[in-house]
Amino acid sequence: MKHAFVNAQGVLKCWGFVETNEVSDIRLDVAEDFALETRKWRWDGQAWQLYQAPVIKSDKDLAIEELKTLDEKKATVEDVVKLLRRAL
Amino acid sequence: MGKVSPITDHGGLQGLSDDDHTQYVLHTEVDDTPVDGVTTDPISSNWAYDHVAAADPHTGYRLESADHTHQSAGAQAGTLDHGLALTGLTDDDHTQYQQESALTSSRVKGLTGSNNSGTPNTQYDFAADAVVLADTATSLGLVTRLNTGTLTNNVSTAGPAAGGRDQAGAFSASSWIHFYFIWNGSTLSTVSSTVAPPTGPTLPTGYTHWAYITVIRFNASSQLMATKVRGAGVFYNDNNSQVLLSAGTATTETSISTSTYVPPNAVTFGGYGLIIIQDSAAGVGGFLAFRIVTAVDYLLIQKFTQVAAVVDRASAYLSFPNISQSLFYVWEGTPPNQTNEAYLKAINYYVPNGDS
Repeated sequence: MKHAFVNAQGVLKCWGFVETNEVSDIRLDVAEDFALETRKWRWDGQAWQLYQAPVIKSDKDLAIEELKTLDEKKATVEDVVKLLRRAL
Repeated sequence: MGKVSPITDHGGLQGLSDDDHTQYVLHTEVDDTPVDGVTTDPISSNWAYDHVAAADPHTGYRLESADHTHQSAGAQAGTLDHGLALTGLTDDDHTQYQQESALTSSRVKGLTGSNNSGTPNTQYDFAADAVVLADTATSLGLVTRLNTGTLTNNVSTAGPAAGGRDQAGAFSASSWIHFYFIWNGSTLSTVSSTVAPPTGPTLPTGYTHWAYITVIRFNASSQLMATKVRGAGVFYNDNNSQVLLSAGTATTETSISTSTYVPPNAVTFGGYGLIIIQDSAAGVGGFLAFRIVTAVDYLLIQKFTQVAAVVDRASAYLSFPNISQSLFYVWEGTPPNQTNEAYLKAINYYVPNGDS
């Protein structure tokens, strides 16, 4: 029997011809030809939905993004310097 | 006194029965009683020259014409030990029995096979340099056929039929289909069956011999899986279709069933193993063990993270004995803390068809 294993949020972690994975995983019966890519699908209780994992950005990346969206008319020199220091 | 005429006729003499002539042998001295050392009194012609006519003068010997059954004690004694006294014990003298060799010697040599190019999902083509077919039902012995040419089996053809199934009903999806060469005394053909050797297929009418070819997966969509047959080996065409485990993260020994992609009668099978690891630190090891016996590592794939927070991979082609269509895997030690995923795919298997 083929099984898929999802975490508490329903995100696909693992699948195969195994009965167990990690203790905290939730096991689902799947068809023999099931072959979805792990971490890119989520089980919503009814069907599999494409899933976009949240991206964890570094402070540097966040500073660069803030610089790109900076309001030039309102920003002070001090604000810009702080952001540049974080971005470097 | 008158004159007396002398007797001149020998027969007129008296005393003719006397033994006056010692140069002769007396008739009475000639008999059939052998006396050791006698030189002057011969034995009779009956005794001396008609020996064959004698009834059985040599009672100390066994007559050639006498029956000798080996069944009794005494004069007819002489029972034999079959294993010790006889030669030719390995000859096929007992035609009422099936030769053991006939049961075990059906085989193929130089076997090739692939899905039929025109109808790949339900037809399979086979050819062999040589086929030795055995008759396991009676005792007709072995039959060898050379250079079979390409023979196609259609698993959609109801049977028992040469070139088709050995059963009337369709084969079930997600099952294993065994293929056989079959022989009816003049025609070599094939038949497909759910039954593996040694039982073998239900033969079509008139067919007497079979030889095992191989076994192919009939998948969930009732299609013969895309494969190539070479000798005893069956090789999946698509490396990505036979995934047994995807992203396994178990840190306790976990059984993997191979029954979907490795047939029950496979001797061995080959796999492709891959690990993907990532840790917040460099130099952290990932150790993935495959086991064929519980708690004993059979093969290990290991890799150390090169750089912190960067994915590393390691892979290996693996060979496993087929033990009840299962094996085990486990992440050993403390796996990398960001990613530790184990993958295993079946890529081929080997069956006992007599080929190499």
